[in-house]
This record gives sequence, C-alpha cells and structure tokens, in this order.
Amino acid sequence: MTDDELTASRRDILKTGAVAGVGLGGGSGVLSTLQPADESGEAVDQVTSFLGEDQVVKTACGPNCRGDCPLDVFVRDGQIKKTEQQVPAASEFKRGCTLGISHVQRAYNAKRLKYPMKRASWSPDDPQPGARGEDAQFERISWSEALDLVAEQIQTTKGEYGPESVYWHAGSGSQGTSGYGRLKQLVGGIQDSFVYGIDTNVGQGFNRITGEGGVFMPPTNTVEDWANADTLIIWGSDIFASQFQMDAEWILDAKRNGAKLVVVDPMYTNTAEKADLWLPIRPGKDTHLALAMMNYIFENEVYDDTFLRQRTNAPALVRVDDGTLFDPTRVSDNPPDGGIVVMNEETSEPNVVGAETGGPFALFGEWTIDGVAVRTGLAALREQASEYQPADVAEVAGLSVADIKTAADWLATRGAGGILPAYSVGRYLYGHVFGQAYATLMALTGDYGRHGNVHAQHPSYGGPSLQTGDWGNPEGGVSLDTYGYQEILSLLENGDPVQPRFLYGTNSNMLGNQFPNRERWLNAMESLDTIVWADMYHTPTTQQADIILPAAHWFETEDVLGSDHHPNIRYREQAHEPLWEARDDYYIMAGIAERLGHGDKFPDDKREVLDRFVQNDDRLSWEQLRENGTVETDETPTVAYTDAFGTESGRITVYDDDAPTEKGPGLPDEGISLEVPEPLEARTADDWEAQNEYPLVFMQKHSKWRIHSQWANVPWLREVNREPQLDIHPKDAEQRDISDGEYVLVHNDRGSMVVRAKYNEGIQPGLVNTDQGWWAEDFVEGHYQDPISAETADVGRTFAFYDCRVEVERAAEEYQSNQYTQDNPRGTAGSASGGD
Amino acid sequence: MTENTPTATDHSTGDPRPSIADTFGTLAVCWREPSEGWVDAIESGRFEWLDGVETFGDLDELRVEYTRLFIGPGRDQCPPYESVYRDGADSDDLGPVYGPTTQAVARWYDEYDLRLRDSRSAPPDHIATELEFAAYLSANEDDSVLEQFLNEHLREWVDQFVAHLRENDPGPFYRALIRRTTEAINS
Ligand code: SF4
Repeated sequence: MTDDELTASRRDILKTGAVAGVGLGGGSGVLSTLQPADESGEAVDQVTSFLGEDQVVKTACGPNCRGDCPLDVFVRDGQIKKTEQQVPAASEFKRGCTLGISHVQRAYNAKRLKYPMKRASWSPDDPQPGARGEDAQFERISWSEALDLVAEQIQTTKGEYGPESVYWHAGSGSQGTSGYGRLKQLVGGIQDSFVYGIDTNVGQGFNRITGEGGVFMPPTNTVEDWANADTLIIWGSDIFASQFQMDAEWILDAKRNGAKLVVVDPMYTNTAEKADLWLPIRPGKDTHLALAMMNYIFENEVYDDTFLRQRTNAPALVRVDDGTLFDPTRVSDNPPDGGIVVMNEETSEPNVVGAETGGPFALFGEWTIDGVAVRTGLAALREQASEYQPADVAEVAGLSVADIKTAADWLATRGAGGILPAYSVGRYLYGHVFGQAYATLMALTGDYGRHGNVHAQHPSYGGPSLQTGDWGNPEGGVSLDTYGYQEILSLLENGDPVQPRFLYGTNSNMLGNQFPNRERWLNAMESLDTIVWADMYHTPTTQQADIILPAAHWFETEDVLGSDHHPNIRYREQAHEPLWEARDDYYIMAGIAERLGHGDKFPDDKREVLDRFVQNDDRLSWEQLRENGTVETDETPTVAYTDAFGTESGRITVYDDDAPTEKGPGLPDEGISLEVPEPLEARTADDWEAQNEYPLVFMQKHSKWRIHSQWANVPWLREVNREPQLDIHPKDAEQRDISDGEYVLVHNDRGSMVVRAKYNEGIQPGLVNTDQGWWAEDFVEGHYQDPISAETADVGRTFAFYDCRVEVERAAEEYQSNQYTQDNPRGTAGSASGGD
Repeated sequence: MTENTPTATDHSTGDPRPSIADTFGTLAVCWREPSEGWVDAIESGRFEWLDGVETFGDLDELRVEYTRLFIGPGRDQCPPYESVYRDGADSDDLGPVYGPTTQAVARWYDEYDLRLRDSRSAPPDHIATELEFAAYLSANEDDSVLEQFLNEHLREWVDQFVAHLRENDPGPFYRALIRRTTEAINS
C-alpha cells in the first residue's frame, strides 16, 4: 500500500468539503463527516449489539518484560472490550499480568499519538534545536509530508555530513515485525546499543570467567527444571513483583518440593516475604557477602572437589611471583589447547590437562617447579576469601553471622543449588565483580550442569524460535557501527569520532525514563538537527522530537512472533485498524524505504513478509496460528553447562589470570586487578568522599505497575499507584523532620526531584527508593534520573543507577501543595502511556 | 436569550441571523481543524454572527493552537470527544475514547442511518460531529428530538470540556467559539 492509499483510506474530512454543508438548511446537506448509510458502502455497524457475541482475537502483549504473553482480546462490533490471558499451545506457560489485562485503556487512551506531527519551530533549513523541550509546540502534518521529511533529512544529512551522522536508536519497548533493522542496514548510519550501557554488568562478570552468556543474564536450566533445586538464592530481584509471570510459579514449585528459598535484598520485598531466609544486605555489599559465603565453604570444606578439579581451573598452578599461570610448555612438549598445569598428587608431578578432565589434582599447596614458586588458583581464591570472615562481613553488610553461614551451608550441602541474580546488583558501578563472584561461588559448590541448578531469572528458550530468513539481514545491507549508550553520550557531546546529526528513535522513552543524568542528555541532543520519533504515546522523549510518528497499538497490527521465554510462536490477529492515523511500524519503515529507493525490499502488504516466516518453518501453518493463537515449538527443557565452558581452558576460571584492571571513582589510580573477586565500591562505600553531605543511597526499583515506563498513565493502574514517592525508613525521616506523606526534595550536586515521602519500615535506614517508570510530568519537580551520574567505569562500562547518594529534606512550602494535593481536575493524570 | 443568540429563523428567508441548523453546522465546521477551505468559508462572511472569528489571525498559528488544544501530543490537549469527559472512572482524570457514551452517540446516528464517512478518522463523539448531527436533526426533525439529543449528549459534557479547555489557555478565536457553542447548545 502506498502512503496515499493509506491516507485515502482515512479521508480527511477537511479535504472532502467539510464546509460544504454550511448554509444549506435542509435534508442531509448539513452533513460532511456523517453520511447516509446507503452512500457509505460500509457495512460495519458502529453500534454495540447487546445480544451479539464477542469475537475472540488471538494476539499478544509485547513489551520488554520477558513475559511474551499471548492474550485473548474480546472484540464486539469492532471495539476491544477486554483482554484475558490466553492459554498457549505449551499450556504450562499460560501467563499474563495486570498490565496485560489493562490494554483496553492503552488502546483507547484519549492522549494517544493520533497524527504525524512536526515541531512548529523546526524546519529543515532552520532546525532550532534549542527550541525543543517542555514548551515545544507541534503541528499536524500528513503522512506523506512526514515521510518525505524523514527521507529528505536522511538524504541531506548523509550527503552533507556522511552516513555516520545518521543515528538509529531503538529501545526495547515493542516486539513486532517492523523492518526497522532491515531499513537501517539498507540506509546505513550508526546505531546504539545497550551493550555497553544499561544492565551489562552482572552478565559481563559471569561471562568473563565462564565464557558463557553475554552481558545480560547468563544461560540457565529452563524453568521446568527448577523444581529439582534444593536451595535457591534470589539475589537482588523482586521476582514476586516484577518477574512474576515468568518465574514465580516455578520457584514456588521448587519450594513445595522442599527447596530452601533465600532472598538477598536490601528491601523487604514481596519476594523476601516468601523466603525461608532473608538477608537484608546493605547496598553495595553483595560481593562481600559472596566472599564470606566462600569463606564458610572453604573453612568447612564443603566445596565440590570433584567439580573443581574437572571443570574449573582451581587446580591450575599459578606463579607466586607475577600471578600468571604456569606455562604448560615447560611441562609438556605438546600441551592440549588451553591446557592448564596441575599437580598430580599421586605422582607428585605436574601434568598438563585439557577441559573436562578430572583426576587426583591438588587443590591447595605450594611447590617449586624449575625454580619457580607456584600455588594453585584455588589457594589464591581461598586466601582472598580468608579476608572476608563471616563475622566481619556481617558487620559491614548489616547481616547476622548465622544467616550468612546458613545461606552458604544450604547452597553447599543441600544438593542442587541455584542463584538467581537480577540486573540490580549490576546497577552499582562495579557490579560486574558480583557476576564474577557468584559464578565463582557456584563453581565452589559444583552447581553447573546438574538438574536443579539455576543461574539466572527469566531463562531464554535457546535457539531462534521464528525462522525469519534474511528478513533481518537484507541483501545489499551494510553493517552499522555500533556505540554503547555511554559512548553515544560522548559522541553527542564531543562529536568524536563521529557527530550524529539525524536521529531516528523508536520503542523507547529513554529521555523520560532510562538515561541517567537526564539534563546532560537533553543538552547533548542539541547537537542533533533532526530527531524523528515513533511511539504509540506522547512520552517525555517524543516531546523532544522534531517529527513525531504515531505507531499502532499491538492489537491493531497483524504479526507472527517468536517468544524468547517460552516455547510458543505467537500470532497477532488485528483487532481493528489503527485508530486515527496511527500506523503499524512496518508501514512507517516501508514508507521511508520507498522514498530512499529501497521500496522493493518491503512488500506492499506486510502479510507477505509474515507469510515467508510461516512458509520457512515446517512447524507452522496459518490455520494453526489463526485458530490457536500459538504453535508450540520443539525446543525442549535444557540443563545448561553440561559441556566444556567457553573459556580458553574450557574451565571456569575461578582464578582469572587474564583479569582486567578496573579503574574508576573510589579506586586507586592504578586500578584493581580482578584475578579473584574483589569487592569494589564507588558511592556506596562507607568512606565515599561525599558521604557526609549525601548520606543516603538512592535506588529506583522496578515495580509491578510498569514495564520500564510503559503503562505509566493507565487510569486503572494510577488508581493504585498514583504518584512517585520516596520510600524512606521512619528513622531517617524523623531525623530530618519529615512527616509521612510530606513532599521532600531529594538532591545531590547533580540534580534533584520533589516527591511525596512514604514511611516504609521495609526499607533499611540509609537507603531510599523511588520506583522507576515515572514520566517527567509525574514529578512535582525534577526527575529521578536527574541526581544519577552517567559516569561509567573502565571495565564495567555500565550506567550505575543505584550508585547514587542523595540527601533528603522537607521540600519548600510552595511544593507542599501541588498537582497531587490540589483539586486539579485533569491536572497531571493525563492518560497517555507508552515508550519504553 | 441574549440578543446575540442565534434563533431558529430559516436562513432561506433572508433573515441575517442563521437558522439553528446553520448555527450548529457552522459551529461544527469551526471545531474542525483549520484548513485553507475553512479560511475561505470564514472569509465568505457566513460565520460573521460568530463574532470573534476575525480574530483567528494567521492560519499556521491557528493550526498550531488547534494541535496543542485538541490533537496533542502535549499536556494541554483536551481531546474533543464526549466519552473522555463522561466515561472515566474518576472525574479528575481524562476518560477513554470509545466508551459507552461513544456507543450511545453512534446509536443516534444509526437511528438516522448515518455513518461516519471514515469510521477510523476519529471517534464518532467528536464535538464537531455531534454538532453536525444536531444541525441535521434541527433541519430534519421536531425541536423535541433535537432537545433530546442535546440533553442526552452535548449538554452533558461540553461544559466540562470547555472548562478543561479554558484552563489550557485558548486564544481569542477559541474563546469566542467556546462562548458561542455553549450558548447555542444551552439555548
Ligand atoms: S506486561 Fe509482560 S507479563 Fe504482563 S501481560 Fe504483557 S507480556 Fe505478559
């Protein structure tokens, strides 16, 4: 379909002679928007038939929550009436949360983006980037004008400044077949990535010593296997609030089977409430705790020596002088690839061994070989752990000695164990060390490759579940240079090595939710001449755009989708056409492609693309998809880590001879080398330089009322979750003369926000929290990203949202009455939501 | 009735004041998005009784204002649909589009075999569409039917809508339009 056809199908009443009727006194002459039914040729009855039947449309939710929930949407007379959870073909994965069943308030949200818009003060010749912001005004434009402008701006930007000044940004806010990846490869430019930038710490540390996974959550046994666990430690994740659909029932299965559940969390959460043992750790002390648990395991000799010998480099001989591994070629003429030198206790001779090889290898000891003093890697780790006696760590981390020992003992002695961390610990600057630490801890207890081992929450279902062929990699496409978010900020600020000038953004409310130090980003983006943004709703991010493109709600699109987190392919049947002039992202991409000469790569009808996916895959048929909504894939439950690890030695490197040196705030200038886990802290450290001025650690927990910032203003949800607030322990509040419910200024030298204080005894003194997912306009003043630094560390390269300290005081009198306290009809609680 | 209130005089008799049908029809047009054709109509003088129309100024500026007030995307928008003011659970909050009152309005149109020319361009309870329908009723039906429609719909929500609008700083053209519209539907 061309844009003209699309536009014509939604005829603009103004162009069809809206004024024609004026002055005609009788008959149907006054009509312009309405017309007699016999002329309309449209058989659609616009009226609800009370006796009629609902049509059940099979579709699917699709934000970045890992739920991937198929949904049933009840449509009557062309309108969505309600949403229910759909039971998929693999029926044990039935799911769907409060957000999923409140979609009707997203689809029929009065503040949806309705038409393409252009910032009134923007024009190609005089973009006036300084006029962006809260007060920017927009005017409606047609789709063809909008797409012409986008295409022209891409062309002129490329022509004037080179292809690398065209910058493509997508968040994770929407699953669907849009052709975005295809288009950007055809057009060229640069792209940004979460890697490195957001939540890339914990997985990175885990990956560094196991060679497994990437920078996000590592592989794990799939959920059906969790019932075999004997001990589960949920570390810094409120699964029972924010990962409920994906993980909670499987954890309860394990509990019912007798597993012990330990929860490590500085807050008393919904999840902590389910625990057999809750460790209310002080912020930033997670690696201390992991080391104290290792200490217990060493002292009580409850480590898994067989596993350590066979699958880790614990027995590897390490030179005492420089910490490198003893050179295998000094022991063997022909050592296996990645082989390590171990001391054979039976022969008292060094051997070189490859991956997955056990034997009578010494785990501890010191020797001199060829005049070189060596000891085992495990000895180095034990020495490090010996510095972290449970009694000392208990003091530092605010825990009881007995609890630390119990947690360690359960993990080591009760059978199959699992640790489920989340991204939260990675939101400290040096959170990757925790990834290394828990991977090491689980190596000590031998918890890899067995039934009941768990290494992460929301497991993925392995291979590609949808056969998209070359859709994602079109012929003639180029691969784009990728910059992590933390690099993008400096590109925008310094133009080095490239200066982005044009930005296409989609599926993302980064400026309203996910970028730290918001004001810095807003300033940096003034270097962009053109910002184009597609979304379903007007977010604080689209407010910064020059051209706004209204995207369709998921229920208004047709699609075929894989699922990362359960073995079902999902179908989206279109419930109705997009409202107003919103458009399926596919048609937005196709419209741009056509104007840039790539029209042949985007079939006129999206169905053709989906049909290829279906044809590519023997498991799929349209009949099944339409009838059932899902088709089960053949992926089977897996036990992870059964083969050699992805490291050079094929072993978990509990001693990482190739360790990087981390540098950053709070660390000595020469940095700290990470052969074994070393607790590193920046602003959470007790001796942080500004600790007296800003004594409180500030976190922004996920809540069950948002996926990122989506659903932010769904009225049903706002009824129970009205405004951002600051969880603060009554002791901290009283010390500052703050009463429950008063508005407080939360600030540091970077920025501030004003929110309502909420006494909460579930949060420890010294820590405050505001749930994430609020938009700029929801704050009485400021934003929770304003006090957070965008600084990253050399190795971690990850934004550290929780590595933030603030002071809190009662807000000035003028803030005590505000949009939430005044009788202010329709004041703040507009009803838009969206973005990412 | 004030002296400026339009009356039911038939336009065809040559009375300078517009008929009720014309009044509603004119108002309907004025609540649509300003366009070139719209300017031509205003300049033709047919809208004169709506004094204030000459203050619309520059078309581009008015389109920006229209976008700000009625389309969005920003905070100031007052979606001009009945359900938004009647179907929300909380009167302090904007309600949804396509609510029960939207259906009720559509039933009126259906009763007269009228359809939206383009059912997806905007919900059927847009203020302009309701005014257009009021014009149609006044041209084709007894006053009592028009009264019933006004009572069931426009009079039920337009006050709330314009109150919200007034909080968002409408310019002189829309201030005049608000005044004339409330007069017309309440007379
Ligand atoms: S928001 Fe996530 S968990 Fe909730 S219904 Fe949608 S996909 Fe499922």
